[in-house]
Amino acid sequence: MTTPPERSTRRPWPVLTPAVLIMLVVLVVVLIALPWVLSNFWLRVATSALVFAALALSLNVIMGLAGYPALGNIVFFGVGAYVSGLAAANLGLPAPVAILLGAVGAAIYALIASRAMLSLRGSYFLMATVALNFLTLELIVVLRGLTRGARGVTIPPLVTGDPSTVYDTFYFLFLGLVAVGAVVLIVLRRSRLGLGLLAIKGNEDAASMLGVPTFRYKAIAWALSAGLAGAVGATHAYWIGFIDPGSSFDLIMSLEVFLIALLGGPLLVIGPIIGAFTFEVAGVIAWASFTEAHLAVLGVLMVIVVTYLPGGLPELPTRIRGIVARRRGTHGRSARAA
Amino acid sequence: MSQAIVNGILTGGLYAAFGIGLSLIYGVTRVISAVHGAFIVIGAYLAQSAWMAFGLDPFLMVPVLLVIGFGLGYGVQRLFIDKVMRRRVVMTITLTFGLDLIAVTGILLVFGADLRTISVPYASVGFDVLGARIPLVRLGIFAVAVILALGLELILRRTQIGTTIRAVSQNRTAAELLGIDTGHAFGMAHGLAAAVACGAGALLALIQPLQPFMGLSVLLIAFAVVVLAGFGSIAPVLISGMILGLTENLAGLYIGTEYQRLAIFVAYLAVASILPAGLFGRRFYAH
Amino acid sequence: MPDALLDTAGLVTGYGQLPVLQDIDLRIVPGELVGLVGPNGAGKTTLLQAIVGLLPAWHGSVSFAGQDVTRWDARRRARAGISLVAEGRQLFAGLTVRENLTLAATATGNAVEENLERVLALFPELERLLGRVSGTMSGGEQQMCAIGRGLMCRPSLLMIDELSLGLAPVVVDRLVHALSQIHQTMGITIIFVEQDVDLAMDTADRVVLLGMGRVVMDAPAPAVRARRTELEHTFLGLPIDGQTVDVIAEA
Repeated sequence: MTTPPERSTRRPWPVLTPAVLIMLVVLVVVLIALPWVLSNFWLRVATSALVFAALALSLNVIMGLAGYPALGNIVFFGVGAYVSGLAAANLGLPAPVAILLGAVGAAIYALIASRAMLSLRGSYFLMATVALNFLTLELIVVLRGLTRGARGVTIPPLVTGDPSTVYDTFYFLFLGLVAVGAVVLIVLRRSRLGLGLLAIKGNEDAASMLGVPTFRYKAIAWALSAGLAGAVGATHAYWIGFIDPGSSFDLIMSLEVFLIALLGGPLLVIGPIIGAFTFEVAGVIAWASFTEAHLAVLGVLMVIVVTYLPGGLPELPTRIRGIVARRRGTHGRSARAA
Repeated sequence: MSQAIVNGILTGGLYAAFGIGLSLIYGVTRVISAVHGAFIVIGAYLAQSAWMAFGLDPFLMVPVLLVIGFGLGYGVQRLFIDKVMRRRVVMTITLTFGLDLIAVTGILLVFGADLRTISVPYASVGFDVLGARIPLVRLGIFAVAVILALGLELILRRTQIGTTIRAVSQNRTAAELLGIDTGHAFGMAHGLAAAVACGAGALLALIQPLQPFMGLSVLLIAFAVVVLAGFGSIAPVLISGMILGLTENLAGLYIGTEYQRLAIFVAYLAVASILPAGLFGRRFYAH
Repeated sequence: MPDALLDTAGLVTGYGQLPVLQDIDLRIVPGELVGLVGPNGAGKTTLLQAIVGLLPAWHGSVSFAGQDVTRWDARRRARAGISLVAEGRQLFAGLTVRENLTLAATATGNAVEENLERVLALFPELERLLGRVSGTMSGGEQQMCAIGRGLMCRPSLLMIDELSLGLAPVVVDRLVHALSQIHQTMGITIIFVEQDVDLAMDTADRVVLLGMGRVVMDAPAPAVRARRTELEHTFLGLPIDGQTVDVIAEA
């Protein structure tokens, strides 16, 4: 006997129930408290998780809301890093100004690119963003008079003092950027613009026929996404103290961000944060034992998530229950999708 | 300049061979396979190893690589892509990039990170036409690449399995209703595409030093060919490959060799955004 | 009573969570020509899809030629001799007529030449169209090609969804003629879905009326003709003599 195929009734956006609210409060408290609890090593891991969380949030503005799979979005991280890095190293601008410039520069870069690229869809858009990333990388390399090419740029320190002050500063800077990303997504989702973006994700042609100014909406979303990624890139440049084309426009990093956004599933805000921490902690544990095969671990993870966990981490409990039920033999033949 | 044109056209043949498989996979399964570049690089490394170990000429290695590539492509399709083929592009691209990373690690572990090259004894043989020098190796690469592409086209147009692949790509449900094993047909399509990619890898090994991470730039070239060609038959793919080859070589001549890759990306994005249907008006439709 | 060619027992299926067919018992013996009628949404196409294996059964079973095929996929059922000419013809639009026909024979492991001759004898019109890309032909030509393609699989049960939909009357006459030829000279059992009830009654030996996912009436064509008002009531969703009322109440 077979029952109708089970479908998890996923809501596109979780309602702010008391449970979710409590989770949010706990999450915020934990995130703020972490620097007092963690050792310097784990604080670095947590900071790195925040970098990825902020990038995944920025990706969700264009991918989660508008459905545009900007796989090469790391390009804006790189542009932000270079704009602020050069502003600080060559012009000696103070860090807050340089980081702001990085964000604005990345957003403008997205607006320029949007003319050419936002008319593309699906795989086309996706591969075009990857090409844009490498085009920009090549540009940085050849314009070596301005950018110092492949040799990279050393960034003046943002804060001086004992290491734990430096660690704490960057932790809270990136936590701030995660907060900005979360607020942008939440505000957008509740706005007219966000509704338009979701309509575009659902059916762009229909949205356009209903009078949604699709191009303008997509361009604004992409610029916001790029601005946030640019700010992360700029802050990241200060954190590491050095930028070069290869590490600033690193497609592997983009793939990691992409994976984290997928891990978040339909939870556009909390998803990437939990996904990033899971990913980073798992990474530290796994990569300690597989240093040689670091990339393969990432690859295997990508294959597993797509094949067995396409709905991301929120789907995990359902999946596990399904497996347990099958073990017990209560689960019938899995019905095919209609 | 005539030299740059000759080089561009000859390289273009190889680029077409990179692109044609990707175009086939996309046309049949609607999946952009990011692991396609890895197939090419695997072919290149195997050819280089055979040359180093046994002194086997890379051109003679091509038939062997066709078989290996076919197996890889068929396996990847049936084991991994089959399950997720109908999902969103975000999913399929993540899956195939995941496979690509696994392949890159494999290459790195087996062959190491050092640059590897092949220098065949006839590397300096060539002849002069209209003031341009045509190296025999490059001409051979061009010829074999075009033969590979034409062979693929012939299989698709003239054989039983080719008809089946085209039928499955046009209407999967109808194919199942006729008793066609669609999974096998998709596997065959991916196998054929990967065979050409792997074979073309041997040709790449003849002109470029090999390193494990080169798959991505090869993939982007293959995708650029597909974007320029639009979805369709072989002629646009060959012409697009040559246009990219010419772009690269002319940019190298007039602006500087370090601008070659930049020129390819600019050409790709320009065509993609100005002529989304490709240079030949047939939309390589993506959803 | 001869052995059934097709036998569905308590068949329930649908899309997603939504059941469309409720408890269908349908027994068809070799040599029958069955017209399947019913209002939109009654489950006609769903029933054909369940028989051919495109939709899995949630409850109940499907047997074909004495074998339980409930768990078989569409491919295996096609090879066993169930052929569906699906709604909208579903030709391989980019392939030629010859390729469409040939493929059907080879995919099911049947001889090409012999079956092609048989199809061309039935539809001589297709002879000159063999080299045409099927997507460029008229609706009638496409329907002939689609039925021909179904026959290339050497079916013992041929099912046609929406036989006449969107076709000119003269073409429909042509197809109805071909249908009786397939039935009589080739001895193939046929189920066809038809919107035009009168056409179905005139063509078929037996008419099955579906309403809200159930068999509302199943009788020889003349008997059905005698209860035409009842048919109209079903199509308009009006209650009839208690029976449909029950059906609606249970649903």
